[in-house]
Amino acid sequence: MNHFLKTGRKKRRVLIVDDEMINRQLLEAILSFDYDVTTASSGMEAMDALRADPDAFSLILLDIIMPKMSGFDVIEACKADNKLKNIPIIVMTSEKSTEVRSIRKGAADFISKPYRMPEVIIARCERIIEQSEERKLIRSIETDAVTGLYIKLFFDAYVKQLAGDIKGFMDAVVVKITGADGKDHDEILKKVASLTEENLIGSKGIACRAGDDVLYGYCIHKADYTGIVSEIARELGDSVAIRVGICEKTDAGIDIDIWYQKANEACDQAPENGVVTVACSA
Amino acid sequence: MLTIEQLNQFGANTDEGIARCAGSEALYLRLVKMIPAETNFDNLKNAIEANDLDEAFAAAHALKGVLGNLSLTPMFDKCVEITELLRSRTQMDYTPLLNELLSMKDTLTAMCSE
Repeated sequence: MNHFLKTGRKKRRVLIVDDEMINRQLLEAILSFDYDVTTASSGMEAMDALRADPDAFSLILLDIIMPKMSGFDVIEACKADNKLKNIPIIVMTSEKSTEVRSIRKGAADFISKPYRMPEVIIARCERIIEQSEERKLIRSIETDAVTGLYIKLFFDAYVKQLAGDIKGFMDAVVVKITGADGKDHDEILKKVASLTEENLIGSKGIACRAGDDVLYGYCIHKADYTGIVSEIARELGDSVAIRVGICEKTDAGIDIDIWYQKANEACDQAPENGVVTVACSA
Repeated sequence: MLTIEQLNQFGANTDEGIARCAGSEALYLRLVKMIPAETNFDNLKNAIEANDLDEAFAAAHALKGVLGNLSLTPMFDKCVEITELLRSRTQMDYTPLLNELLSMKDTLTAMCSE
């Protein structure tokens, strides 16, 4: 099946960006048997091609030192654009310092100049494209279409990976929503999810849609959630309410399902726009 | 007509260059024939004359890339020497090194015009 996925599909398109025509033609000759190739002689020309048809490109081969718009500028521009940020970039350079800087800026790999043998370049391109397409597939199925949060299957898997591996305590969070009825259901859910993810869970945690109007979170321990929940309630207005249950300081030695059972029970005891916290080990 | 034998005598590593061209001797020769028209030779010369070492480094670096990819070894080696001095913006008279590089370029140009 894997072999068919690799070989049964139409040719991928690669964008080669280099201000030197000789380099562009060399790479085009190496790659054109396996890929459709578009070339650009400058950073600006590359961005025009990418923005004109973002879905067309599976890979960017990018020279770094170019006049006016360098390869670094191209990487930054791509990473700042939601439609371009997931196109993998392989940087081409003869400078060791550039290799490291490129990877740190988000390039997937680098190819040294003078170029290695064609087989090495082709193998690297193939591997990077394959990894990128696998990640794209996972991204397309791992999140809920309405809220943008993880679906529970992936959330559970990530929590299992993280449990016991994080410095400091983590809390299991359950949020139940009331009032998200009728034609505005999805919009309300989206808003609650956004506020939950940004404020309740924060940057040191993950969240999922666990049920129709239920969200789960797994985040760095907070001593008090009352203020955050009140703030969210204020943002939501009178017609929508949330209840929050926390199973705090989760114990990696206790089953994850138990954490969320306790958090669910706490949530059911919470008042509207309120929070109840229970200890995990209780 | 430019030949592989001429380039070998010039000091190029044509086996390596052709391998980089996916085994195509025709492509390799076509790309080598583009070297005489490379604008970065003039850019390098002008920048050195103007003592603009930033521009000179950019031009030398670009030349190094194409000369290396085509395994034009004598020119590549000279270009590396110039590039590394320019990298640290060493204040010196670059004319002798530049003239050596340009002399080799003239030799290659003559070979390409035959």
